[in-house]
Amino acid sequence: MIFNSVTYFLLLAIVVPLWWVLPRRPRLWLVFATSLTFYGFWRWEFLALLMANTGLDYVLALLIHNSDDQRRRKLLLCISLTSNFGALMFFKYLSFLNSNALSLLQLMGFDVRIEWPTIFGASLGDIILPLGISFYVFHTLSYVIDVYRRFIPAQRDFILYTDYVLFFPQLVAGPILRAAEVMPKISQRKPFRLDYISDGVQRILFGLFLKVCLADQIAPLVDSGFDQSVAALSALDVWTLAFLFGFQIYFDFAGYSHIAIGSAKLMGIQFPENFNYPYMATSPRDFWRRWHISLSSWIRDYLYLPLSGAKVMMDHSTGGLAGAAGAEHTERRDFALFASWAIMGLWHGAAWRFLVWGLWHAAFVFLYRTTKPTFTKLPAGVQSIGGWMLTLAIAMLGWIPFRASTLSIAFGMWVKVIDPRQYFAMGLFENTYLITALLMALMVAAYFVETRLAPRSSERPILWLPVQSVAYAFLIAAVFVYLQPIRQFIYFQF
Amino acid sequence: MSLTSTTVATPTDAADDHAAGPDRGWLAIVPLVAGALLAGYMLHAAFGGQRTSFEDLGLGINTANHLGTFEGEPIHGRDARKDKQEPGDPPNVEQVMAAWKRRGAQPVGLFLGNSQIHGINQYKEGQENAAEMLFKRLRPRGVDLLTFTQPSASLQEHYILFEYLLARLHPKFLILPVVFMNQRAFDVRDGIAVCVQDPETRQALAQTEIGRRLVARFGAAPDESADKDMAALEKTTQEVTEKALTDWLSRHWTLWELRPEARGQIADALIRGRNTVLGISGQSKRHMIKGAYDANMEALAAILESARQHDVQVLVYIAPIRHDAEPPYIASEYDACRKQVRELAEKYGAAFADLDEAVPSELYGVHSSRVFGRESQPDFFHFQEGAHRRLADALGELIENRILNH
Repeated sequence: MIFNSVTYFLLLAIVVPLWWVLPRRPRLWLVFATSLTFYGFWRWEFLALLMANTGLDYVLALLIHNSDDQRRRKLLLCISLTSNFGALMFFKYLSFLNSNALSLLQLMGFDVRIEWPTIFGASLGDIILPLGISFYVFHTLSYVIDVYRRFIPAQRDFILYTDYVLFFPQLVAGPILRAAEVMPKISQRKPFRLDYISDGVQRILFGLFLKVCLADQIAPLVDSGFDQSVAALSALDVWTLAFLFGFQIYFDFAGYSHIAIGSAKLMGIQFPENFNYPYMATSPRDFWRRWHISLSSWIRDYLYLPLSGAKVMMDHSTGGLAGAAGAEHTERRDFALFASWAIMGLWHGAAWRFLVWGLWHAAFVFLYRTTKPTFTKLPAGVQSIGGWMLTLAIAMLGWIPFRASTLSIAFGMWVKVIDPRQYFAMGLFENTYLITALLMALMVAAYFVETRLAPRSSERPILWLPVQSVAYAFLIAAVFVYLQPIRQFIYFQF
Repeated sequence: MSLTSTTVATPTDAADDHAAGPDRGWLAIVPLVAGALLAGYMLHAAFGGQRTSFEDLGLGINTANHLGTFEGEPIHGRDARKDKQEPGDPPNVEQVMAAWKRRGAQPVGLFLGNSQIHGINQYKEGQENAAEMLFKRLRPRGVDLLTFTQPSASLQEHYILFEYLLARLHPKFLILPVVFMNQRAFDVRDGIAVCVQDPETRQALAQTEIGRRLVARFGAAPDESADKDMAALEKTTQEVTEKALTDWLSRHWTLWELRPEARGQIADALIRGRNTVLGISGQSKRHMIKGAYDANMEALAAILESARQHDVQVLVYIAPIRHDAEPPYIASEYDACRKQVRELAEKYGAAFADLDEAVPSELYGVHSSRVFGRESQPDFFHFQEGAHRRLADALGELIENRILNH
């Protein structure tokens, strides 16, 4: 089910009141049934895969928990890793691996063709990526690994465990949650407060505003720009498109996260934040503390730290990958940094351009780490303003391989940026530059309002009330007018 | 954070509540309720009135949208859109073709153009546009001239529509205006993009580089019967419930049905606001957009090549434009475009005419678009019926002398 739809509102209108009135056991069944309905409204055929994956990890976690034999525990963990990554490989990377293998063979002079077998009337070569597989696989994996590490006990209640994995607000695009932080909240309902409803609706409205009023409206400009041939674009155009797509993906994904967080909040469940003004970051490391926080935390705890040889202790999803990367580096840690980011890049999609995106960020975090001692000697103002501008440029240019349709186009666009002769022409519609500049200004203004003005609201609540009412009126009117499921959330494809 | 210790206490419910602040009780939902009421009032006040024709807004205050007919049957259509036609909608390709068959399916001449052809400034009941006049002139010569025009049509759109119509009408000739200002257009509207899903059209487009790019951009568009407002739900189970719910809301809630109107009015207000703030007028200079221009020129070459291969004669002309005021384009860019079009026409053996000055300035529009404010401004492009007569005469002579009698 897609969030920006009337159907989702209807679902919430039914489920939220039931959540607050039902006793514990029926409430857990309610979440279970709602989550399956939510997923099945996209494609019910993939429910079996979802349940098989979830069920297998439930059994494996129990077996791991009950065993004291380290070899047996390791074997069971390997089975879980193999089944999860196997599913991911099959659905997400098979076609990519196959086309690259064929290209390599053709390069070596072999003319090989593959006739894909047909299953249930569909060719294996046309496999559809099950919605949210990258997210729920990470959910179940983190659960099994945490049980293996003895951070948490295995959950015996299958419905509660399934509610954690499939909890509908976060099922298809996160935030990626940890069992330890969510299971108790689903299991034990808090006493009802109207604040939950107010805060939840506010977050949902704001998320929908970001998605339907901003992301979906600037998408045609981005598409039109990236559809043009690279030769027709100037360096200014490349910068503009990089910024504009940076805004689009941020509004789209942050919008999704707001709606997910708001939906859970309606039930009194607090999800960790997934974004924190990433484009106001003052260093590459800071950027990764603010962008897709739950993914970078997952990568840190389950990939980077083990690869770097660090001792891993229990954590939750509110940290950030770069936090760990800031320690004194060794060759092993550098390798872990690049490997983690490469995998994180490929997690986003089966294409080399995603790998390049990951390595781009790894390179700048590495560069920041090595130049930090010099950087910190600069005056504080220069550090923060200069750091912000540099980080913004790095993050935005990094989106080029992420959005361009091929790697050669991405490199072509990057080359434009470093060619001084390309700065004297404009090849996009005037509105494109105007909207990009306006969005940047609004982003900075919103940051200052939220960090400087909003905290003072508690000092004069009576004065703040009309301001809030007008803001709500604007949000409600805008969302009402623009609510259309014309575009999927970008992160659904991952 | 150290590498060896990442321990942070798992947030508890108590911590969540502490972060949320003290329980505000009913006060928590007061702004929400007040905001909802205010939003409802604002929406009713702003959009509850009469409906707006956004196409007419684009044409300008005194210019009417007029698609030609002959004996009450359409000879002039808009595009290939096949979704449900409402009363007052411009005819689509199927309707124009059906009328042509009823008239006896004579050999066809094709006229692809833009709002200069379907817009008549200071329109009075019974007036005709150039396409209708030309139709009447050519019909005794055994040719049915069928015209398709879209506001600000680009040559890429003409290319797609030409290939789509080529297979269906097998035209003898094509009249193709090149409008410099529309060389900035890059997007393809849904009613034209839908043609790319036609297998024959797709195959024809795939013969050229620009055609392949168009297929890549629009070949995977949702099927033509799909509701574009629900493109993200296509082929999902949710599509059914969402359609049922939104249909129900449209039937029972006027404001819900007015949402497209509201979106149009907001876009219109934003454009007017931009023009006021930045001082943009109908005469403000607009630079050529290189990517769009190159793609449109490639499309023109592709049309001429395809026409040559299929033995369709082509008359390419530079569309008339007003000359008594500072134009909204860069003169050197305009001259370069005219030169390039002439060279392309010569290269592919098409007839070429520069009708840039074919219409006297006094026959152009007296008001420009509402988006530039209500004060009188020259309309550089749309003209009165007298000018349509002059254009039809000029084109008629060219067709007769250089195509039919050739």
